Amino acid sequence: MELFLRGVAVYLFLLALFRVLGKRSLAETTTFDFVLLLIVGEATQQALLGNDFSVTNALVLITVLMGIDMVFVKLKGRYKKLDRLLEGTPLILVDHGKPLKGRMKEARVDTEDIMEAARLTHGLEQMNQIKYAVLERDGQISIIPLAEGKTGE
Amino acid sequence: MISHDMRTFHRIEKIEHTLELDEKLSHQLKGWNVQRACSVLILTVIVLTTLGLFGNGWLSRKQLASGGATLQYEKFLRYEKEMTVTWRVSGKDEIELLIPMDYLDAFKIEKIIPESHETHLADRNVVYTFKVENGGEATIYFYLNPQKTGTVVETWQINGQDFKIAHFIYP
Repeated sequence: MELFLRGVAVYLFLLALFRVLGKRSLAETTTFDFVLLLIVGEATQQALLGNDFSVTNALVLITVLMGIDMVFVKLKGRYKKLDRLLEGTPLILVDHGKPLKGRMKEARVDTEDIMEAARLTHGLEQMNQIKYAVLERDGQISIIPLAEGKTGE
Repeated sequence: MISHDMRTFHRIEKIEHTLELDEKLSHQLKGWNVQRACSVLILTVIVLTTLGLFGNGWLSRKQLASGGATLQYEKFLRYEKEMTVTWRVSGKDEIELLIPMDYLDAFKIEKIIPESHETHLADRNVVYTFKVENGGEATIYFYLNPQKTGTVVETWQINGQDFKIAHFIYP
């Protein structure tokens, strides 16, 4: 029972924390984020396993975590509101070459992030070549380029 | 908060688009508000942790003194995280310390320094007796490991003097 409670508590805490920190915190893995995730992993290990380092404990814990995840996937599929709550909704950040500064500020995304995504995915050079930039639910920025020869504002 | 919400709402650009996606701006707005509130909460937790709300700090440290004996302990403990109860007693040749069994139900004694001269049970208490040469100042350390969570309030007794110890043990 204790093992189950540990698993549930840590899973829900991390889920809430990363949801609150914003989508971008998991999507952009800079050196700092990588170090942060490693440390979070180490700190979590003790809370999950306690002083029991047996294989059984680890296997049961993995099963519990997978089980919780499975339940959430089912519930998200059934209840749209829960899905929106846990995963968020996409957000348009650029509209026909025009960066939507208010949205970008709230979503903590800057022009550099958008241009980086534009270069990486479509080899675009200018903001006015972007039709839409969308901050997706997983924190990635997807780019829809303007048709060839057209430019935004 | 409401005016802040309104300001944020007005700052967010409303656009017409041809994409097949449901932005749910009202949902985004709520999410950002929760994020702001949680940022304050995270900072508050960090400050309180530094101050000792989860142990080892100013908020957690407790000192009681009476009749030539001083007791020092931590109010806030964490499950299975060892802590120290320190006694300082002066002017006694013999120190008799009673710990209720109910208290020991919540803790595992890892170590006592110095070891007691004698230990016996008396009426749901464990009685430790320490000998002190020339009645000088004696310091006794109890290293205890919390085995339960929640509130523990019990009274220790040293040479007939009661000392109430209260802990909160975090899971």
